[in-house]
Amino acid sequence: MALTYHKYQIGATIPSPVYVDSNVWVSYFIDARPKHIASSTALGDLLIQCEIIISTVVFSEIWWAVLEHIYNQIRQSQDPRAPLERLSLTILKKNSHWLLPRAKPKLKEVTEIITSFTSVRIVPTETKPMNFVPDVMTTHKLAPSDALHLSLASMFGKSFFTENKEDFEGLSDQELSLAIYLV
Amino acid sequence: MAYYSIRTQSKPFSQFSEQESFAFRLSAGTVSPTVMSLEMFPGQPSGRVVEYVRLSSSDITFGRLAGVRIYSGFPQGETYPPIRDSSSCRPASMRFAEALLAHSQITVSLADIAAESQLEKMVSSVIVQVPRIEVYPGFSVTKDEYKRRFGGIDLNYFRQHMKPDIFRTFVKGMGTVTGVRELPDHSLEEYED
Repeated sequence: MALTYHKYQIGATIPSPVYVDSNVWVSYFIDARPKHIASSTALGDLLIQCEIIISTVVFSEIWWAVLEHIYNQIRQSQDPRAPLERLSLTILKKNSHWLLPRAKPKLKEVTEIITSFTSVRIVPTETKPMNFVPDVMTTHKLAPSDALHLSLASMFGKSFFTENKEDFEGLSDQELSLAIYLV
Repeated sequence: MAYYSIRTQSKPFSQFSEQESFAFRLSAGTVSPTVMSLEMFPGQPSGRVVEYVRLSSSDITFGRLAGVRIYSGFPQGETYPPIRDSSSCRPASMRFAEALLAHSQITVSLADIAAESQLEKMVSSVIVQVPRIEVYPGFSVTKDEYKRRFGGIDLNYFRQHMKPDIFRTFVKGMGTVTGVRELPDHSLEEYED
């Protein structure tokens, strides 16, 4: 049985706690993202009515995305014709001497904002969800980070909020007692 | 109708006299440069100084620009023949006028209003001073920033439903990173080489 996706609507009752995928957080923080409005609205609504859970892998992905946007924003402010570039580890190391000092205040701000929300709880890194990851990866052909998101979400939450349906297509809700919401 | 006085001479502000001042009268109350008419009138600024903004030393060096003074109570009701209209205004002049329109009452001193390069410098300095929209007490943003970060989002809904401290944090984080468009999402693994 294919997984049931719910289309999020503001004000609708959401089963709590909610695991919020990193792409929703990233769109909330970064104004230029296509789903900035939708994700900000959804996150705000969740902050009102739910407990939100977040994992260290979400933090890591948010930091990468913020770094990547700042990297490209600075490059384009210096040369508007500069093409967008993925921030790989190699590029980060090559540019870390100027990029990291420039990005540090925003990275700190983003981190402090997440941790300031009283309804946001950082889930612990426990053995059980980690052991679940290889199964989820293999069964559903998921990337490690996506499998980890799902494992943590199903272990600690009742709902999962994401922007990307594609990442989790092919999943069966027989294994996951999780309501997945698309922003 | 808003009244503005513009002091303009090819010398430092400190050497200006009241007799050397000019006044702009900006009509139509719009910031659209295509419909705004701009007339220059002789006049004298008066009233109390409500704000004084000192610009950077580079501005002062570049255009001998001493500062920006915002006055209230500029004399109204006097009529003068126009000596300049919108057709003769160059783009920088219009942007400068737009910046002025964003203020209620303003008196600006600058070294040479006819110099395009100096006007450009002045405009960039004045625009920084445009009125800000207060999102919550103690936190305000410019109109452009408001549109960029909060445009399309019903902040009133969240203001009404969130606890004040949560609302403040939520608003502070929303769109705080100025990103680039068309940078698609990708997972953590893709950052690895």
